[in-house]
Amino acid sequence: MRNRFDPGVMNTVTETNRASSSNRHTHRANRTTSTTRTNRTTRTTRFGAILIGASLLVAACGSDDEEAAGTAPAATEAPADASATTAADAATAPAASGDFSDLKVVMILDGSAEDGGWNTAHVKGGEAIEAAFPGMTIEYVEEVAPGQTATNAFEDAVAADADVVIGTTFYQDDMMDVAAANPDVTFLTWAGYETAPNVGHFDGASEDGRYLDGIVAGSLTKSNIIGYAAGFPFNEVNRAINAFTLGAKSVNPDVEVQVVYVSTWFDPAIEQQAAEALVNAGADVLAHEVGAQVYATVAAKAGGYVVGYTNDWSTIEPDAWASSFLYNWGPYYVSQVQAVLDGTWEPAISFGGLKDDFIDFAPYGPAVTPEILALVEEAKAGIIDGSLDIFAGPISDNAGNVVIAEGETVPFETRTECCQWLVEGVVGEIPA
Amino acid sequence: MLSLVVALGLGAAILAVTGADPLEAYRTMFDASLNGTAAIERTLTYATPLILTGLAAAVSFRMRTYNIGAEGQLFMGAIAASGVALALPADLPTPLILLAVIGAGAVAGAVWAGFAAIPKALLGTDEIITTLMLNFVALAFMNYLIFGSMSFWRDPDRPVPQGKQIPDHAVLPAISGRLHIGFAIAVVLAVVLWLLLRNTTFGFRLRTIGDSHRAATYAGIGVPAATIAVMSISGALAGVAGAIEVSGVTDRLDPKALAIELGYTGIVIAAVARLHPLGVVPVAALLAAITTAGGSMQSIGVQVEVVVLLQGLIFLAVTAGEFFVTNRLELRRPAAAPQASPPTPATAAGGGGS
Repeated sequence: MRNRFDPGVMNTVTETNRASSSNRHTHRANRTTSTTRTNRTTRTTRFGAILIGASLLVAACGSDDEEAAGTAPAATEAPADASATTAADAATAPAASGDFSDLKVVMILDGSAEDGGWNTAHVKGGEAIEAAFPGMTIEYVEEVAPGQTATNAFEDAVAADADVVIGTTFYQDDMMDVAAANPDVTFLTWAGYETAPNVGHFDGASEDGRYLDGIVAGSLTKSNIIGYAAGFPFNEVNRAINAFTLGAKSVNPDVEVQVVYVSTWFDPAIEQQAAEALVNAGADVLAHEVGAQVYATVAAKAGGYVVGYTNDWSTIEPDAWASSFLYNWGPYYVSQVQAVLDGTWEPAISFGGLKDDFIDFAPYGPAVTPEILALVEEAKAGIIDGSLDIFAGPISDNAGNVVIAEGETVPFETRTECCQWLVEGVVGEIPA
Repeated sequence: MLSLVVALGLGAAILAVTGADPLEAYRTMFDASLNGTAAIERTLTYATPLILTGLAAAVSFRMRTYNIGAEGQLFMGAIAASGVALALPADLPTPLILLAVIGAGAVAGAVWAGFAAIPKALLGTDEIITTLMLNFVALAFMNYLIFGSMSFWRDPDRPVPQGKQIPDHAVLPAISGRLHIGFAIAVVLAVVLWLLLRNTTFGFRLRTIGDSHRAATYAGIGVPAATIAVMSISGALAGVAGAIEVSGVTDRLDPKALAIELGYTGIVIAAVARLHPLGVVPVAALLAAITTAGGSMQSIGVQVEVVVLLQGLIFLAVTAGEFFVTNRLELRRPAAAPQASPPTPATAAGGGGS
């Protein structure tokens, strides 16, 4: 990375790529393995299972299915992928036409494809690409930590003849060199902010979804205490907490949201403690921004409800399950790949919310009554048509300061700059 | 060599069962880690911090002082080095700046190890526990600087919490492509450590304590002083690893890129190298080659779980092979006669084969 603008380095990289890609053409016919991989993911996510241990067996069974269904057109595959929750995928997928066997997309994930949350949402986006461009190849590279490992993974993707490389976490610092050395490949990464002629970025406005989940949580709570475990106190996380709390208060002014920051992205032991502490403090609905499944089990044990974070646990703890927004990357990914194919692709930073189809929802749990759903749908329609602005002032923080004055708001375009405050109704504070 | 063939054969069977082409997989693995200049550069770049954390473990374990804290010492080294890199004015000569950056890493690593070494030397606290616990403290501190606060290290202009990029004059120059002079520094330190252990009084004392604590005390060797010295050297090596990662690879204090268990992996490397400083270098390179090949295997459709399994098999095969080359396996009948029951004909016949 230090050699970002050193032409000598870039030449070396390009030459090696050329050499290895010519090697690869000779055995390209053997590439059934990647579709097997995809198929496994489809199967496991469809059943909502996160059983990595059983994955070998599933893959072995899956390869047979794949051979039978290998030539099936996308038309039959799309509805299956887009199950109940992602009808939007099927709707936005262009009509299947033409041969896309030369098209290859590589997706680089920062965790397991079967995490049931963040990365699974991206894999579903990958499946939408596959459905939209029949015959194309998509490959997933899992467990790639940012840093040198990620740089290697981006280089490997280029060497494997990818046309589009998608990164699902903050890889910007790791891939800009690779992109500069390979101007013919298009790169898309999550939450980057520097574009290049062949580099674009994307992010989803989770606060739109959180506001609606807040309405559900605020309606379900009887103790008027909602627990919320978050990772680290940065803008996106705080913004989601604020939107969630505003949503809950819109239907239940007495509600308070108890927030704990656990300073980890994924640590079931610490998260278990956090979840239990919140329940002991009286919370009967648990929401979270970190990855472990413990919130569902703890909430179920306490007879409460759980609100997810881009995951669907409706089959894991069916009685405790309330709701969860889902990141819906499919339409965005498909539109980007289409633009690359058409030659109309332009680098952009795409930040999208409900109205842009970036946010979707998991099936609601049994406790969510038609009355609650009506409130949710009303707010959803308002956010989409612009009549409901979730950050419309006056809004005070939980220390009593007016942070958004009457008549002001946080415009959608500058939302990523918000928030280093927690809204009134949140119990807890941003660690200094 | 034979054990490697066995491992590759076993791996090929697993690959075939899971639906991948073994030959393509192995070719990809070789291409990604060893075939060509760029591949070797990325392997050795990845090996650099592993050499240093391997040395850190080797030197302390040789004295039977178990520093499990290279992980945390590496973080503290990275924090100090990036702080110095960000703070130093640009008009100083480059070698001086680089020396200060790496020196800061070494000092911070040594001081962090000292928190465990001094109680160990004076009070006899268990350094395994203290160094291990200090790892979590260091990780939490590093996360706090980037994710938990608007610290000096954090770039205020970024929407996603990230460290400030260190200025170009504090960046380690390249040897070739991505490979930076940190690799040369690591190799030189391995040789220095080898000479230190072999040819100096300090090295002799250290080995004596390692072989027999009591004999060393009887011989008048100051064990507490040696403990503090060895832990400081060990911590300093891990701290240098952190400094070199920041100044050579990540360009900023980047917790997610640093917290990839480089410190713990160093313990494995030291153990496999049988605590020999010069052995650490090839073992670290081997492990780095296997690791860097992992991503490319996935991009031809091998599942991540299978990749990890293969990496383990190959590493085990190479290291086990080395064991059988240097040790001879002998089958012997148990010397002691069975007490309760006389040997049955079957066991007698089986045992007679050796």
